[in-house]
Amino acid sequence: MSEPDDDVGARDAWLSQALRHAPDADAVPPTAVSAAILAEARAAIARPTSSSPRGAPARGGTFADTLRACWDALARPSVAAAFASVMAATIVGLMWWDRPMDETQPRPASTAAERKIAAPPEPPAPASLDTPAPAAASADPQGAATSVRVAPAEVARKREAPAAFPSQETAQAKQREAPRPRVDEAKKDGAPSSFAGRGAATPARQAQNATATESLSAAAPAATSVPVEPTAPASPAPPPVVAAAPAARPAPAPTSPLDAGRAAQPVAKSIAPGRATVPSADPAMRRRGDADRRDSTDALERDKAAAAPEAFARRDTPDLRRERAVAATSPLAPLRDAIARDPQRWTLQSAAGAEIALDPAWRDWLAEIDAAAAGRWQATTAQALEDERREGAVLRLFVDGRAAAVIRLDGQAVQLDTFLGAVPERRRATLAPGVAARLTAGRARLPP
Amino acid sequence: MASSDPSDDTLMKAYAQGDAAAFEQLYARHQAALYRFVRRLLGPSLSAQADEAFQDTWLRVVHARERWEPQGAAFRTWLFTLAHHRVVDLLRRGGREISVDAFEGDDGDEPWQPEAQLWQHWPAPAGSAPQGDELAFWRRAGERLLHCLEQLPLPQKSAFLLHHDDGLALDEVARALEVGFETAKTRLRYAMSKLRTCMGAYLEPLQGAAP
Repeated sequence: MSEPDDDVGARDAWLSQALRHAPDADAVPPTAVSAAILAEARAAIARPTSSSPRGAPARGGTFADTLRACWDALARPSVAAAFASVMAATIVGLMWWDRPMDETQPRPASTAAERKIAAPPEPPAPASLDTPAPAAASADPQGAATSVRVAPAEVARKREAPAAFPSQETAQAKQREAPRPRVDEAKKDGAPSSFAGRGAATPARQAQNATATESLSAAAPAATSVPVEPTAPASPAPPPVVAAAPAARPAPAPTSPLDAGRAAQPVAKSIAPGRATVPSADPAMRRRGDADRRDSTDALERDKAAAAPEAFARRDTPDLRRERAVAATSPLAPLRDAIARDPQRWTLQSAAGAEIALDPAWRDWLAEIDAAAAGRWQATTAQALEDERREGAVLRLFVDGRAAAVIRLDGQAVQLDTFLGAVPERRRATLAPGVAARLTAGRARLPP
Repeated sequence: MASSDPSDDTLMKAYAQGDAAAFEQLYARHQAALYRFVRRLLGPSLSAQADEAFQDTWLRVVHARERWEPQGAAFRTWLFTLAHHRVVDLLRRGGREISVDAFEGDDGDEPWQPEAQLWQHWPAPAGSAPQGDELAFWRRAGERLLHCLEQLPLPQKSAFLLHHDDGLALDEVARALEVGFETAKTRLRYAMSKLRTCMGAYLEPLQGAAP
């Protein structure tokens, strides 16, 4: 053939010759590939059912065949994709198992309590509001006149620490500065609205409250002569909710004889400072109370919105988050850990200047302080430090002769200055009166 | 293949009945041509996947041994059909757009015919193995042909390789590519025309070197 063949059916001799001499004309499959193919061919005839359609178990086959068929069925892309979807959904579900999906969702009780702890203090109501709402006690004279039975043990317990509470005027003055949770939060938590809370918005209302309190004191001295701590629990160690809601802070005077009934309510549902609850067994009175509660809530909301609208925006500021983080971490814990790791390096100097080895008794006492102040730590200022130095016990901790921490303890709080880090830190934890007294007594028992 | 050798169909039937040696014989008979076909279809850019396509083709043969029946098509045609399908799958998986249009890239209805004079000086394709300069000429022609093959659309390349390299008749080419006879013929004609043009333009400077 000397020319290309125009007949398509015939092969072009030149092209065929070129193909035969192409570089890959002698290419053969790799040995490994050939071996794999031949091995698979031999293995295929060794298993008679392998040529059956995938996913269909062979009739009368062995258990292994059935298992293999099931595996083939599961290995199909559609089934594998379904499994992958289920696994992904499971993982995501587990990741969000104990978390609220949205901030608007109701949170668990513990979360709500924490939020109440970190509620920012409301600014004092402006004094220019010259149209105060009706006084709390006078708004419901029947409720005020209702007899209240306070348990003798409760009264006795409250009488145990009267010295820790300042005068009623001081309490009311601090009440104006005390953080007060929102009305809607109190309602959400199930806490009954406070009659006294209506009057707490303005000084005029507080004056009316004081007047009502005085009148009630005359009528029922046993119940009202002692300041009532709204959130004080029956146990000596108060729950964390007392820490941020100012537990050691002077409690407001009871504005209603029914305030004593709050002692039996759970702490989580206890009212916030500045509010008193008037649960009543009388349906008529309860209805009237509900109506008043709604009115007072609306009035209070209006007052708050007019007086300090920015207070709502401060509810979750970075400062508040930082305060929560400070309260959650114990500055004593790393100190105690360092002492426990190498106690020989540590000494303690009392206020009298005596060098004391940190024996286990001292470490136990530090542990007691740590436990008592758990969740209550707050950043403090130098001025507060000076104030407490005058009246409290001062203990200095040294490591290798170098000052490491200073602990100050008085009847109300414990303050800790640490110098271990690059920047000295000052923390203060307000203690319940009984706890502070117990820690002070424990300090007195330690040598020397 | 000697006349005493069993046919492909016989070997395939024997393998379906459990004769592993029959498959080995089948494999030895067709492995080189099939491997070459797969490599040339995929081209140099995808030569790394030639082994995969080749192995998958044979594994399909293995798994379909009991369903295979020699109905009309020879085993060899069926084997190359499987390989062609596998190559198309690989090209599509690699993002290549596979056109079934045999005239892809052509402007007119008829392929352009090369100048016949260009071929006059080519050495005659001898039946025996060329030697010396002639062998060098054909090796360079083979290299050029592979390069020219890369420029062909897949349908035309398949038709040409099945017809010229693997020795299938036109009707077998049509059956292997699962197209009509005329379609296969047209694809082959376009392929040959393009290849002749490509080869003639390239080999013209080599005329002096040809014996």
